[in-house]
Amino acid sequence: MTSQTVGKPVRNRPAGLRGRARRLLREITLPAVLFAVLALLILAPVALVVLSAFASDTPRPGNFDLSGLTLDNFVDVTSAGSLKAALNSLAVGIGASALALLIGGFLAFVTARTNVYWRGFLYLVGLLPMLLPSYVGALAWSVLGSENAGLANITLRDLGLPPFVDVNNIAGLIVVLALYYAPYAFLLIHGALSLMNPDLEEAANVHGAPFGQVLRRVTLPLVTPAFLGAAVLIFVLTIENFPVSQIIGGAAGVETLPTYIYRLMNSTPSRGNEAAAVAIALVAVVLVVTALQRRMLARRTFTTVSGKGMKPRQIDLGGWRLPALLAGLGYFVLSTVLPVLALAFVALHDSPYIGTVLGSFGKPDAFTVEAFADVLDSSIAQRATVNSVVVSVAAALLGTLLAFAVAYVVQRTKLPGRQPLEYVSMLPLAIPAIVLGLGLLWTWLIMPIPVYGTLAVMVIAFVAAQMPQGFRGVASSIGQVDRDLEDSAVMHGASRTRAIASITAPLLRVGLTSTFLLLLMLSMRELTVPLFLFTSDTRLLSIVIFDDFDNGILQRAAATSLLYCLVILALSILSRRFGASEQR
Amino acid sequence: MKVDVHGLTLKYGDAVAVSDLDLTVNEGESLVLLGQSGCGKTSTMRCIAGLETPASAVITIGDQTVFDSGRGINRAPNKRNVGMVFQSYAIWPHMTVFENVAFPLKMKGRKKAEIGEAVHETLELVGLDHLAERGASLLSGGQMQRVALARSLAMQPSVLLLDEPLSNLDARLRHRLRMELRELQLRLRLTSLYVTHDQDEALALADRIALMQSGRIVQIGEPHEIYANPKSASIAEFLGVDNVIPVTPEDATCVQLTATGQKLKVEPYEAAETLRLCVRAEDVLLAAGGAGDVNALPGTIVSFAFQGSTVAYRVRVGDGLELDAVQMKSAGPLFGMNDAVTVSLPARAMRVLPAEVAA
Ligand SMILES: Nc1ncnc2c1ncn2[C@@H]1O[C@H](COP(=O)(O)OP(=O)(O)OP(=O)(O)O)[C@@H](O)[C@H]1O
Ligand SMILES: [Mg+2]
Repeated sequence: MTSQTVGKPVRNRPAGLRGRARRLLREITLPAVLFAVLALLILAPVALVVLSAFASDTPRPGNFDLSGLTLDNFVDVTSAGSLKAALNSLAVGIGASALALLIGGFLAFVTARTNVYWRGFLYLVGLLPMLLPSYVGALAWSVLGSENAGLANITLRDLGLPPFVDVNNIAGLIVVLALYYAPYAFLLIHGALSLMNPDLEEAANVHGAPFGQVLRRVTLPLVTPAFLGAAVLIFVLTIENFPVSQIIGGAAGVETLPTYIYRLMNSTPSRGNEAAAVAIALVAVVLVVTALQRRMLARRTFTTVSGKGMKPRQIDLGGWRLPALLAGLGYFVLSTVLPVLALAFVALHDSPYIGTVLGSFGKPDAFTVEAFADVLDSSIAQRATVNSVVVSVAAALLGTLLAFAVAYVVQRTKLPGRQPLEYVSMLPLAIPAIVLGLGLLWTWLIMPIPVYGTLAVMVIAFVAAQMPQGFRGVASSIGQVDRDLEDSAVMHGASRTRAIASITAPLLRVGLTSTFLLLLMLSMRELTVPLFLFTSDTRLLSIVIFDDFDNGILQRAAATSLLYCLVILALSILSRRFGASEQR
Repeated sequence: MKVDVHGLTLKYGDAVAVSDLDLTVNEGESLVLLGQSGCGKTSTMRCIAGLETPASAVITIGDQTVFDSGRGINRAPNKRNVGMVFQSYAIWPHMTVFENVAFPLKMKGRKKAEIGEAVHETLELVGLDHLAERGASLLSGGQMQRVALARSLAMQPSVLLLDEPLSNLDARLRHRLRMELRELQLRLRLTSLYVTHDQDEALALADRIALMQSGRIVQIGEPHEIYANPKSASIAEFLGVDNVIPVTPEDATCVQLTATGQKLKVEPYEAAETLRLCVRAEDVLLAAGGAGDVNALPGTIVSFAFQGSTVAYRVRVGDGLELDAVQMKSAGPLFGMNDAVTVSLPARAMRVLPAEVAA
């Protein structure tokens, strides 16, 4: 009907106008609703952080006024303490990304392109640390590597060797972060190396370049975008990482911006406005780096991916096959074997005080499963497990649905306001988790709806924080389903909604399932976002581990961590089954 | 330079891609390797370039042995001075057109000024001089093809290998570039080996054609020779002979159609285990009515299609046997569906060939 009035606009002008207005209204409804949801989820928290940075009071129920705007909070940003934290953050971000790229790049190269011994196993080695949430790794390393009571040094002493391990300093922080973020570099670089069209390298070879030159002039330049992408991703992830800094750096007084924000929030009285100001500085760093990367990549995007399923030629490492394997195994030991052993040792040891490591194996009853029994019995742990599962499933479900709605509107329709929807969906990528957590806290404190202190607020927080991953996952699978399939259902008499429900959604089943599982994994692991939001009734597993560690209940923290890793392992095997992508 | 391949066998795991192949490309000759998809053309070429290691072979380029499985010689690809235009072009996207073409010269350690001159000369040759500073990822398909060609020409290769260089282009561009390639080849008198599965391309570009089937060369010769005298029925079919019919031998000049038992007079043929009668559709004559003569079979029209100046018919001449015939429109009356016709098969237009070339 509308198209008829549009078709004869001159003869019946008022009706045409009304028709157009009605059509515009109808078209704008869906994007407007989605935008309102995203605004509440994402824009409101960000706005509140920004406002609080310029206010003299933090948002509280019934008390949200914008009168006393001030720049005072930023005085603190330039104080010695926060400058020190900023410098530490930069050092940690740069150092950890460089080291992670080195490790990940090395593993990616040998597994994608060489005949290193145990190639398949090394590939697993590159991925495996993803199963350890970074704070579990940090926890294990703090058990292993502290100067006096660390298991590593105790073992050394047992052996009569001088103890030399100490992770509680900035170098240790860099190493531990690098260990657990190297898999991101590994995945991205491995992808680029193994998808590269082998013709490009062979052409250089045929046209006179020996092996080394091919590598230097063709291969390396072609993986540069992936390399840069990994560098920026890891830099952003490490600079905003809160738990590792807190666990490893906390003991040594090495403060980074996220831990500084956390301390400001937790001081009495809480200094939220200053925290907000520091948060803005952190966001600024992240934004600058992301913008830099975009500019660098804009000038050099190549499609090197070949359609032919051909494998690039393998490089013969010759005498380096064994050393390369040993280097890979070294990473495996540091990232996975030692930490898991350390956690198991602590959890199984009969007393929290460990005088000797090797000696314990001689004693008959040095080991007990009491700590595990303790965890399985403890009502707090049980409650937290239920909470984690309920929150994660709900967040993954709602997150996938919302992502589907937004991605569908962005990719498949010409509705107004599609672009802003995409931007807002991707925004949380640039907002450090601790800052988002802060904003979410204030948002849901002042909301007239009473969700603060319930599990619902956790679900809301996770949906907001993981919107970018959900959106990207669904959007890429929508892109792979030919739009003609849906259109032809409409041509054959189905309404658009019907066509989506009966054609598009079923075709996307695999894509939606894997997005769901990815979000589930991320929710199960997340610690920082809910950090300001939990109450004693709504603690999650990650929070319980962090709390126990903070309060020095090491054995229980270790036992919980191990059980927690098993759950994550099971989940990831499940998502592999469904072909979930393991990218963040 | 002359290229000599002797006893080439290439295996991928257990699968044999090329088996005991002999091939010579004479100096200054353009040899086209023609064959169906998957018959091993690319594999053969990659062995010459040094990108695959054959199970056994002796390969010489000029007077230099680049591969000899017996003596353990295997020259690296970058030492063979072989130019290669890849099917995907393999233009390096992170370099400009100039840098792409300059690459082989740089690898040869030429001086900067010399390189600049040579590159511009070569780019002029392929008509791309104005694009020298363009980023290579911004080129069209046809332009990439020229850059790939220029890159290989610039190194003054001993032999130029081209792997279906036109297959990614649309029909008109393909036609034009085919002419240009031939012109260039004749002008520069390059020794070149050209791989394709398009027979028109082969006929247009070749001094000689080598026909390849399942890893072997089954026939080699000048284009008109191969076109006129295919060695086997499957070659004939590949070269566009429409009617390939199973027959059984009667005597030296007579065969029997296996499907219907009718006998046909033919030119003398060589005996073989399985024989096929090959006849082009334009050589099959149709007449109205049901008269009977030597080599005349009664038939019924089952379908027809107008093709401009000609009409294509499909005629049933017996149980399970249908023939294709093409008639000039002026040659006689036009037939309709189910019309009874007489099909005449002149002995001179027919050829009785073995189904396959013996191994
Ligand atoms: N890397 C490989 N590993 C295993 N088998 C291969 C490989 N490359 C080619 N083959 C096989 O070897 C045979 C010959 O392949 P080749 O690429 O030489 O064919 P081709 O004649 O160039 O075909 P096309 O015209 O399709 O390019 C094919 O059966 C193919 O499946
Ligand atoms: Mg091929």
